[in-house]
Amino acid sequence: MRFITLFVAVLLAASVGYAQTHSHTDSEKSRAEEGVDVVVEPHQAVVQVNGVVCSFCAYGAEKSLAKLDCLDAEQFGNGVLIDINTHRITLAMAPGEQIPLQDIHRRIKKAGYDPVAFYLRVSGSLERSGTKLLLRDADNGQVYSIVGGSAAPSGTGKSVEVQLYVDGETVAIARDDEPVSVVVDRWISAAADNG
Amino acid sequence: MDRARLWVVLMAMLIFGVSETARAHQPVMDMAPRWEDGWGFQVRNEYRSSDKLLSGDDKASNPFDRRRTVNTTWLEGVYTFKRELRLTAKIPWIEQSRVTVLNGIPVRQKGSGLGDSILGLQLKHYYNKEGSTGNFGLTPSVRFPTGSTSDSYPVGDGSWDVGVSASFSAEMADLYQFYDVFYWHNTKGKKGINRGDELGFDANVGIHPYHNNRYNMGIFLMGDLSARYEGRGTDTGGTTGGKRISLGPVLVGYWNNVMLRAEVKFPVYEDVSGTQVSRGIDFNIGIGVTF
Repeated sequence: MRFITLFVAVLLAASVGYAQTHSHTDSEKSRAEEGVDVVVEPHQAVVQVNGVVCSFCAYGAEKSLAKLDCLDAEQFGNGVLIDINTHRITLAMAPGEQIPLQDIHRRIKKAGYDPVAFYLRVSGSLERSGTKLLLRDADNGQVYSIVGGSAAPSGTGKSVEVQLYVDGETVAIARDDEPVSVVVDRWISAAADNG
Repeated sequence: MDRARLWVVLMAMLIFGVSETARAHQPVMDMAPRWEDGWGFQVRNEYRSSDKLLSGDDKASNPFDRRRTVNTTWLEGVYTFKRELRLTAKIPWIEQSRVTVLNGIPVRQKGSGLGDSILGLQLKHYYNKEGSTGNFGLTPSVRFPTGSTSDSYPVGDGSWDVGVSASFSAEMADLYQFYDVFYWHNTKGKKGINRGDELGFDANVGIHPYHNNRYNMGIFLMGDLSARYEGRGTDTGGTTGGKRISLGPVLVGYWNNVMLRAEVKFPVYEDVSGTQVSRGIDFNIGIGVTF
């Protein structure tokens, strides 16, 4: 009986102690939101998702996302990898396929989670359209509107490789007929001026 | 490994080295399926047996070798209309026997078959944070008299009962906690069965020491605390009701949408109404699938 009582006390104390060891998550949050430690591989998209800490629970998200036609199902078994430690979902994109950001956002929400940021890796060329700076993906023709981030190389027509960040809210309210507004998370390469 | 983490691992080993059973009232598959149109089911077996006789909270002599064995297999299902609304059903199949004393004579009683089924409508509020997720739940339930009362140790009580539970659970990548408080109002049944109302509390707290992202598999180690108060009542074997606290370890393993769960629960405190056989140690094993 004493042992059992001790067991209960220890169990509860361990839980509290364990929770305290995880009190650093706020600082991690800001880093993650800033994209400092997100590295997107070519032909992948990474989604930062609040609440994805249990893959058994996130099975619905995986099942729904795996139905996307744009995925390379040979990667990760079905094209979807959920990392419960970083709270990220990585999607393996099939070459030439555009990334259906709004559909991805909708599927994750419907599965019970909150997508807060999208990270994309794009190789393409810069274009001007009025006051807008556009980036056209050379692989799939998808166009993004660059609205912030580190300064772009001067001039348009440049071939660039860049990691982009899109806020989840931006994706949620984006219009189908307009390029989604993105922020440059980091420039990976910028080739010589082609224009 | 820092000291705090090491400490937690040691505690986990202690928990695993020591000691519940799934609760019939408890929400089916608490965190999943949380997706719209998601559904799942689980089959689990509860077994308990005891020949320890109690009078109040004291051990009593047992000259008539009074004993009780109950083996229940639950089929439980859940359907998620949307995140905030789920329907749960629990259907028991019971095989049970006992030796009791009626009018001073030891009597062997048996019963088997479909027990009383439970239907619950769960109202859920989920929240998501960076690094954690959780939910608050409120579940009104009805227990239907689907079980027969014809056996000497009936598997049903012939009454419609109503209950409500309030729960909270939270989960991080490596910590899980679940708390639930419930109340069942037991109405008068057939064959003189008139069990008292039941008030209960359950807590599951544990860690998630292993997970493989690539293969979507892992395990949870948890401790379970169950506390029960049941008002004094009667059934075909005599007096019912009392107070008890049980403790034990829970091991959960999962692979994609399949979950296995094993529990052992030890009674650490019992105070029965009148003289009754102890509940004994509960063993529970189950498998669940979500779609």
